[in-house]
Amino acid sequence: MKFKFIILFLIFGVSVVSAEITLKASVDKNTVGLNQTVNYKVVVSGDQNTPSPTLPVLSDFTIQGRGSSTSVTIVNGSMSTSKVFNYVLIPKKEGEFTIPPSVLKYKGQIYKTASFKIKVVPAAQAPQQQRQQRQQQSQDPFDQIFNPPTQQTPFRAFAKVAVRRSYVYVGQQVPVVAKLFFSGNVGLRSVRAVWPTLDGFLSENVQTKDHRIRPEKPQVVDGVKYMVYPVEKKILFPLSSGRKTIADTKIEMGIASFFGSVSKLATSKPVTIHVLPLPEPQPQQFSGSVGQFSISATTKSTRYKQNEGVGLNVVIEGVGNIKAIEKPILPDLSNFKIYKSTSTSQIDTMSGYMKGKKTFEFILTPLKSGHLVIPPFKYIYFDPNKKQYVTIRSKPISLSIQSVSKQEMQNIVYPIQDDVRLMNQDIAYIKMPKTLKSYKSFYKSGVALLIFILESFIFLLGLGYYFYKRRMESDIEYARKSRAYVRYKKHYNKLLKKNEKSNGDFSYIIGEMEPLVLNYVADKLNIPGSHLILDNIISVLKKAGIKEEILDDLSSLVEDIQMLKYSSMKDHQAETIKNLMQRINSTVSRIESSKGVKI
Amino acid sequence: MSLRKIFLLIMLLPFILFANEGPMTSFNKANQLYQKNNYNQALKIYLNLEKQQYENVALYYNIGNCYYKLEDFGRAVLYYEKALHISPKDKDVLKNLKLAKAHLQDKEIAGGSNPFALFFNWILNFLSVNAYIVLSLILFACVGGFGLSFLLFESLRKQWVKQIFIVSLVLFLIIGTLTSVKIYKTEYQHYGIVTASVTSIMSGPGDNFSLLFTLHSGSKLQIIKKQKDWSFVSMKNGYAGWLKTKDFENI
Repeated sequence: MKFKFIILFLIFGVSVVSAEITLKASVDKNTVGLNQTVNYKVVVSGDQNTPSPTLPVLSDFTIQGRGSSTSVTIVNGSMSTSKVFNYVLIPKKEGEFTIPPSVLKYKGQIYKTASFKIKVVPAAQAPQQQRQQRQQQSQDPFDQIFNPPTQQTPFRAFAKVAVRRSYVYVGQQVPVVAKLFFSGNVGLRSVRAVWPTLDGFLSENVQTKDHRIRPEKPQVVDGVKYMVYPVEKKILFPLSSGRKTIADTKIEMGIASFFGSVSKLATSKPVTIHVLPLPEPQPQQFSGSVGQFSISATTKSTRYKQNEGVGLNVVIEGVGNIKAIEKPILPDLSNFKIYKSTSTSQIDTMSGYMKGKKTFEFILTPLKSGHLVIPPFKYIYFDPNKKQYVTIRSKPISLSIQSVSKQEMQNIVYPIQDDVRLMNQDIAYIKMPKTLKSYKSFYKSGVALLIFILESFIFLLGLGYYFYKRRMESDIEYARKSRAYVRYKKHYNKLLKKNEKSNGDFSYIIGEMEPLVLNYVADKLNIPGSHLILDNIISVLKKAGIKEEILDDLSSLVEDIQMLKYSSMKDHQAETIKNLMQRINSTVSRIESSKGVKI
Repeated sequence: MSLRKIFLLIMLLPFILFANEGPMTSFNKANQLYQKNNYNQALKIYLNLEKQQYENVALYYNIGNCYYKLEDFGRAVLYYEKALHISPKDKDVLKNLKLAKAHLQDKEIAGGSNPFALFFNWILNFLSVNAYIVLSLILFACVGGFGLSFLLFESLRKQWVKQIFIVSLVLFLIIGTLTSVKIYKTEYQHYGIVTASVTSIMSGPGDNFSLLFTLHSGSKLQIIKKQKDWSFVSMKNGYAGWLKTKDFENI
């Protein structure tokens, strides 16, 4: 009893203690550099099933990461649970900011944490203050992992945007790379470049072969050896002349720590690019392309029929902004009708530069027959290396056009055909059968059932016949017994027929009469031929339960037959035979129809 | 039969024949009206034919088309479903049913995603009841015919006869089972389509019960039982309840 009481008390006691909860929050530093992070920690202790606290609105910070851990401790019978919620915050700008209290609603009560003031200083200023702070309050075990002291720093990192040229013309391509300089024994899990808005440029992303970043040659900066990672490459095309600045680019690093990955930021210095205007005067038909290009024009064949479409490809190929390549200047094509033109570009940026080709496809139909020439196509671009405008021309193409009849002219054959496009969707049209027969369910009409029954009946019949046949073949006794009467009847009829044709000679029928009767009985009783003695038969029939009178008739019948056989009296033979045959029939029938008899 | 009666019958024969001609002429007339985009008039004639107990795929399909054109998509679905009941593989009907369903307000309720059940249903809907019955009877004849031939005739006691027998037996067992299920479904499982623009599904047969959910026209439901003006129905996803019998029509 006492023991039970203690247990009850323990359970009750524990649950009472655990019902109370406390909410506390802390930050790891009050002063932070722009390129650093603040760890904001909220601890809920008490009940196990508390919800997550609601984080205040933090418009001045970016929430970089979050995580939670739970620990349960039982000390002297009282259980306490604490849940730790960690948030990694990155300041967005310099200044003094407040982290408002976090709130937790639980069982109708509202719990609040304290608020914190955070001073955000420029990037370079922070470390010293940070170190001072760390010396003051470095009780948090997480702190050392998240922000290792710089003196024992296992890693150093900074970002740099590398520009290949700082003096370029408007429209000239500028490859830029955001690089991460990294040194230390800490595992780098992930890197990502966050570019500023690139106003005044057209920008193209450069993709590496397999989306992997391969480190470049290590570099020594201020006596420290750094690994260099080209994190992200871009190709920029300045849109106007003047001094252009690429603002600070950030590189986000995921650094391996005991608790998974910790996020760190490295920021680059702004980079200036001087954009020169294109020299004046610009040629009248200047395409706007800047770089190095070549032009070529080809047709699939040089011989065409007059009703055939001539597929003409004009390719402009080179280094520069391929996407911006304009349609080349068309020569005089008055001997042709231009049906349509399409363009496709192939761009290659693997090398860090944009190069490739743009193909313009024209469909021309000759208006005349005979020898026709497609004159050269012209393209004017600016070459920044030569610092001048360059005009390029394709080679002229000579075609021989075969004339066709007027009728054939109507069927113009185009080398390129359009895909068929569905314009609209509508239901399929009504059905118009020739007759309107009402559907009848087959099974309801009874025909199906009738067929099924008929089929079943035939099969059962067939199966029955099969089993009957099999028994007849395997069971001799059964076969003899069941066929005794049939055999007798056959024999009997045969004798009658012979008798009619005998013309007064009755010897055959007289000889056959006794076997007719005895064979029947032998078959019926399954007695071998050698045992066919009348007394024998009578005793077996008696055992089988045949009536005495029938047996008497049978024995007198057999005796009369024998008498006839051995008598020499030839008078009235025909009548006696007829009489005997009738007696045989009636006796056999009586044996056959004896009911309840075991034969 | 007296001579008088025979005479009367011969006199009436043209009228009897004419009466049989009637539905076809009105069907053609309706088709012409449909061609002229006069869907309302066409529909009237088609529906009149349906009242005369004409169960026909083309008739149901054309009625569905009229309702579609008149933008009563719920009833269009109803009639396409009726047509599918007779001819489950008709491509036109399937196509139009899909289009009509796209106009419905309620998203079609998906049944179970058990691949076996889906396959079974697919097989079940592969042929009509009549086709399944005919197939079963043919297979049954094959089983009996080849089986008995093998047993009874020495000359046919061959391996190939035995193989055909076994194959037809297996097929007969499968198709026979499917046929039974199909007959059971057509006889004892009744489906309906909501024809009211919106209807309430209640927890009991009356307005005083609580509202469970609402359905819009074109929704398919299985009718479990009817009780006066209310019917108990269930949906593929297991939702069930009572609705007014006049708010839906049987497929």
